[in-house]
Amino acid sequence: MKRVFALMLGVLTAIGGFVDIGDLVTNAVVGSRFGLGLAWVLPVGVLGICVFAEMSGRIAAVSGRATFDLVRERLGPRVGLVNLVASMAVTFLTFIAEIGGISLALELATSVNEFFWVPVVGATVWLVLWRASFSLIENTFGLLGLTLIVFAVAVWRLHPDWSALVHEASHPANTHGEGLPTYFYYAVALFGAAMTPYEVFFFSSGGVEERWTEKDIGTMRANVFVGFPLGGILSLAIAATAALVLKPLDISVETLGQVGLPVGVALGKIGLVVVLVGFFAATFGAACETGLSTGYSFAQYFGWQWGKYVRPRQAARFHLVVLLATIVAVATLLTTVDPIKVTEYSVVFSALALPLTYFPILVLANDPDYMGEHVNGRMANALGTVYLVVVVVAAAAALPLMFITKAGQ
Amino acid sequence: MISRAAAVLAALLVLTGCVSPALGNGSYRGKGQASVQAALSEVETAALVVEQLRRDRIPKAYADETVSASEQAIGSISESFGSVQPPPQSDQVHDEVTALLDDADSAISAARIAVRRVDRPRLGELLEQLHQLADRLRDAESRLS
Repeated sequence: MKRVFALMLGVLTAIGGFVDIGDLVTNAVVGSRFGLGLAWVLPVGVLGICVFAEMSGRIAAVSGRATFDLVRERLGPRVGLVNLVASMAVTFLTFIAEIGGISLALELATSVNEFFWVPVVGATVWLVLWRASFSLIENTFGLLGLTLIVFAVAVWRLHPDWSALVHEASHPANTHGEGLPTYFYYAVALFGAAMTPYEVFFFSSGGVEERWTEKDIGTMRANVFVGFPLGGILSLAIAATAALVLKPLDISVETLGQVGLPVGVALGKIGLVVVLVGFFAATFGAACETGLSTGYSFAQYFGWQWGKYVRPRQAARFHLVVLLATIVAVATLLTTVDPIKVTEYSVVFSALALPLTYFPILVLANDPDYMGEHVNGRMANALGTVYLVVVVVAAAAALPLMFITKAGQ
Repeated sequence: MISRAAAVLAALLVLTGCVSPALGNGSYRGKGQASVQAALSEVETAALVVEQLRRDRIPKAYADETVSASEQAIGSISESFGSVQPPPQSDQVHDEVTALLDDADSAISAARIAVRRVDRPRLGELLEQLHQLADRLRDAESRLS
């Protein structure tokens, strides 16, 4: 019974924790501009994150060690450093975007300016990361993030023409008057948002924190292969509400307020209150994950003591990195940079960093010295290799498309 | 060599000031169309918020923040278009787009005031105005494309 409960809790938190500010904004932008013409990217991205999250989770369960620790040991300090810098830059950008997203959600709820909230949010995030236990953070925000199911309810309440909706989603085409480079720019952004590197690092580091062993591989796989795809359906629902309500009105999403408006149209005030809870939970949970991932990456690469399962005094350098990252993130936001713009750039840069993040995981998962009998099978290798080609293509296309389309304008 | 190139670039930037030139009539028309399209998005957002508030289907704080963001955005769109030097023979495009952006700015500002006061009769009048403005923006966008 205890095992079933743990399995369900893991799956539910994986669903609720799947969506972050990048998914919220990118899916709404894409839905409002392309309808469901880019829906095909979601399953591609979700399967990709499943493939690499399973590998990194398996590595953590078998070796009891985290990704950066092993990347440096297996591939050397230089490759490890490139991996660290690329992943860290994107994770930190996402951390800034998440803190900005929480502040915007609080502004929408209270009418108090986001710049008042930014330092308050920064301090609260840091306090939670310092004091709260790992499972409390993961379970609380993962479960609260489930409130974003309200987007799926809104789709149903908007009484769409289901056959037209399914037809549009299942026939990839750019039929909405946007240029082809813009279409592919948003395809790359959506792919980057679904495959954000921090999700994999956080997932595997969490496995080490929770002391996974080979016995936990089954539970881990259920979390990945059930939780992530269901989380992906939430992303699709966000795109669908924007496609149904905002696109016919020629509204192109630029703010977090516009992301939630279709739910207000479908479900009224109560729906919007639930949306605000979902925005807060999704962004706060992701801020904790990205904040911790920043500390994890540094500490694992340099071989410092890290994690939430040891006292802060024993992992002082890990907590110092988290504190410094929070201070710099808050300072960056206080320069009045638009968190939505930061989000839009973070998902594209995420695509750029994907090969550097995922290639070492594929190498490690194939190494029998670390993995023993749990080394990658044919299926995992076939999928891993195909996805490595896809992420290389996405990474190569990201910057040219960004310049050609002036960042999707 | 590099420092000389940097000095020339800096001088060019100072000479051209903050006003970015449009390369030609076609390019200026394109900038006008993009501005009108962006303005349409903000006007429709304000209209949707006003409509939902009239029907008591959106919290006041949410409505206020969303319309305020649209007001801020329309200001930036206006400023951005105004900073482009119109080429000769594009005065008509300049005048038409500027007038539409000014109207959008005024209408969304009025919507923000009415939203903050939850002035329902005024919200009704503004909804009508915003819909008419959206129609004009759509006409202009198709003419400019």
